Amino acid sequence: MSAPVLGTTDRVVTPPAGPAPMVAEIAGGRWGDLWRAITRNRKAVAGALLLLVFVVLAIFPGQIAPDDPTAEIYLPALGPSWHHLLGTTAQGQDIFSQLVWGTRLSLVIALAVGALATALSVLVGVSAAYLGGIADGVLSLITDVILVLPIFPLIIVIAAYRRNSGLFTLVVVLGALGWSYGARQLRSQTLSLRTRDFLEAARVRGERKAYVIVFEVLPTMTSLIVATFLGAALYAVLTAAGLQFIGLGDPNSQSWGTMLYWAQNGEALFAGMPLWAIAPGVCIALLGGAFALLNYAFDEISSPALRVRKLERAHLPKSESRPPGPAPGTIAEQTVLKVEDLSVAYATDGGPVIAVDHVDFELGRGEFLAIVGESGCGKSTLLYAIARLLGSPLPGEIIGGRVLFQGRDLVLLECRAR
Amino acid sequence: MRFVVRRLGFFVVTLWAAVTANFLIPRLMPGNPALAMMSRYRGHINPASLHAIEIAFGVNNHQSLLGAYFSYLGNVVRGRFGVSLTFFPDAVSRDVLQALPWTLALVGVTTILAFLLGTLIGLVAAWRRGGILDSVLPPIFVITSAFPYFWLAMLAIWLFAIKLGWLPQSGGYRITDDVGWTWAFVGDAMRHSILPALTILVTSIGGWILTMRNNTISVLTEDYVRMARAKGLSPWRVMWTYAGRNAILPNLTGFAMSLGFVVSGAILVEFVFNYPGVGWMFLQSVENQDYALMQGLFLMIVIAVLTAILAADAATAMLDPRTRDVR
Amino acid sequence: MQSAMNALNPVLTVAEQMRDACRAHSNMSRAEIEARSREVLRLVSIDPVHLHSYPHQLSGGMRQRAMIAMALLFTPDLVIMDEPTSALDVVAQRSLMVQIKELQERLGFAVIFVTHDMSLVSHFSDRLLVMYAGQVAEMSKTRELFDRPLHPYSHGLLEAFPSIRGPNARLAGIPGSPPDLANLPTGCRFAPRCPLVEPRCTAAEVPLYSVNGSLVRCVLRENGR
Repeated sequence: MSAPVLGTTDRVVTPPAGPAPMVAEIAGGRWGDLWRAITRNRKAVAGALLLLVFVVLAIFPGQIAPDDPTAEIYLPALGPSWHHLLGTTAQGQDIFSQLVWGTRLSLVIALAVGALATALSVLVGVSAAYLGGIADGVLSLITDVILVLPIFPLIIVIAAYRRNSGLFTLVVVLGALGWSYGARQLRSQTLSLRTRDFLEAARVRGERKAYVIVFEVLPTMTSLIVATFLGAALYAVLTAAGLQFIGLGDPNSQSWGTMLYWAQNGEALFAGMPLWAIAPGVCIALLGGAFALLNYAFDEISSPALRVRKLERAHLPKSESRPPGPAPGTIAEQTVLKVEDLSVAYATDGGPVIAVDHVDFELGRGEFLAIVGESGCGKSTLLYAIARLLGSPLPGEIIGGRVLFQGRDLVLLECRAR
Repeated sequence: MRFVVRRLGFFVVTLWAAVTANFLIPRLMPGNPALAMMSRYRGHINPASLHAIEIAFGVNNHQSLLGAYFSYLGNVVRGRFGVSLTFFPDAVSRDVLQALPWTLALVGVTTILAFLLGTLIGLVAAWRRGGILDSVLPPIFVITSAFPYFWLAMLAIWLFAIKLGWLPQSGGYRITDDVGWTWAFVGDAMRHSILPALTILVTSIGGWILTMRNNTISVLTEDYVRMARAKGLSPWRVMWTYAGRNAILPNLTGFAMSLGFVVSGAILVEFVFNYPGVGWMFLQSVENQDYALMQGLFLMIVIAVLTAILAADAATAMLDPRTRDVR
Repeated sequence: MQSAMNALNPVLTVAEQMRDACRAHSNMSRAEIEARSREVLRLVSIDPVHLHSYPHQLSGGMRQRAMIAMALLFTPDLVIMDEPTSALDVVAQRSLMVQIKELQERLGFAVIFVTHDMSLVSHFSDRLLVMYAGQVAEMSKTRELFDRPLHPYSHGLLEAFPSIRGPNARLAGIPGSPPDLANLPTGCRFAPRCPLVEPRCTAAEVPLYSVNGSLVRCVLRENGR
């Protein structure tokens, strides 16, 4: 199988492999690459900005919120005004202040659970893949069981017995049950890494397993680990909010889920205080959305095929006009295929790339033509262009020239078909 | 055949893990919460039921832990979960069976609908890369997938039931109705289910769309899709049988993993709407510290989820000849 | 048609995929399609019992041949193949090539064959088109190119392969790697890796020169030699 443009290493030229120093370089450059990829992705930037806003709110609630969130000092059920941006609760607390102060706990739960679940995912996933054999079988079975068990009801069962338990218990329970999805992905990623050259090299050098895992395997999985963290954080935000909403968190704590709990108890929607219920939900959705956006962006960064790229014709170099070839009718009887001045471009992040550049050739009846060259020289792309396999939903576009098959112009046919 | 046996074995293990968790959790908790519940029962119920509850929670400690465990397993297999406190003197198993049809009708139908619709939209979005569907939907659904289900349920009630008054705000049917298979009752039940169903649909469909879109995009780069186009097949045929059928396979596996998430959301949706299903009853039992009912319902939820996953596995085997062969 | 290991849809039987192709281009009846499918399978020497097999039940070589059979359903004038042999072992590669060549001579279709394996095509192809960085580097009759490569890149490609006839010649790779298509060097695109590079190579784009009926993109052949 041959991929257009980004071919695999060819057998023709294999650069001498220098495993050890190369790996170090890659690991060093990876953070820089990651940073560039993030700043270029709009979804990632939106997610990061949202997250930043919440982090600021969580660190400096006192400077932003005018009131003590628990103080029941105002008239109850006020509408929004300059004094109370979002009105007051049935108990006469300022909703905006509650919202700002609630950020801290919601964020702390998200980050702590995310970190704990990610650590467990890495531990279980990587060691399962690396140990193999029975250990892998057992760890994978546990992972799969936890994966299909409905976690939320299980957490409710646990929380029902340990009512109003503190933040610590909540984080531990959520973390201990939320690692399975990440572990599964990390396991398969590690499995695919195991046979790579640089790991073989490390093994041959006689490095200890732990050393290999920490310094060689983990750095190559940075983006997957970050994605695992983001997914776990999203899960934590939603699950914790759900628990608090049904009254299984600490009802006296300040968090968005707890606000919703009190709003539901105070019949906020029926009593004309919809903002009391709407505002904390918006915050949960935005924080969750921040994690989801970042996660989705990471998916796109790690698999470039998911990104939508459009070929910007304006950026293409103008193809110099050549005198038009003979009219289709005048081609010799013996010619099956005539490729004239054919150019094909792919859209990439760095702008359009011309993979086939003004290629001409003719093919006689019954002739055997071989096209040779290294991967990425455009030979497969040339074929795709001839076989009319470019264009939506497949990548690549013919930007100039003609392909005449038995006198018919295939490029024109393609344009008309669209 | 081996595939089926292996999957079934896996489900037995999973179910066993759930039952064991059910048995161990109350025993591991400090301050024996079950004891408090037992004292409320005493004198109200017949000795046989009390005994089943005692076994379930390990209150009467003249049995060894292991012995108690096996008695508990025996009771679970025979469907004896004791008596519900909330719906006294109903047996737990009876309550569970009463709530089940409501949940199956609401959550089951909505989940299948969301999966099918989402898969279809995801396929079309990927097929028309860069089209309107593809540029508008993914960002929207990334955001909606982060919506708490229960919050959307609250918003739906506020907007459609309170502000606009179009639809009933809670319950599964009017309490004045006679429950039965009459047109009036079924129609009313349908009206009551529209809002909760829409809530679940809107929040769960995004995940299916996104994964199907991404699967399709990676399948589209496969040689057999190029080949299908080279063969000159109609785009419709290529999209369905070549791209779609292969892209849906990982989505079906994903179904197993996402189902737990949907069910969690559905529990809360039922709670917000006071919908008389398993989820609502589950949270009622939590609120009333009715542990026997709670544990029975938990097992019910586990069984329901596992059955759905098994169905997804069967669908996979039907669509993918590779899983049918003995490996 | 290009053909590679994964060009068959894994969830459909060979027969179903052939039927798809037939339906798209003709209104043959079910029985006719079945008969034609058996016929083309026999052409590539696959037992027709495999018609109702799924691709994963076939070996790699059989899959390749099934692909070629599919291309032959309509007695084509042109068959396009993209590295059809890349996933096969050397023996299977040879037998597949021999079979393609035989079919080509019998049925008279033209072939475009893409590969990176020069030794594979040396005995089978009439002409060779050497591509480099999206451009034609050289186009010659196969024999002539093997005897006297005009472009330094063609020369390098030949050097990188063990010759069957030659004695234990030292294998030489081409140093460096192909240029980034988004960031091409000025002048000759092969210049940075060329052993015979001269100052004028990087001055301007090199046109294709005609040398005894061959085409080559190298300033050294400016005078048609």
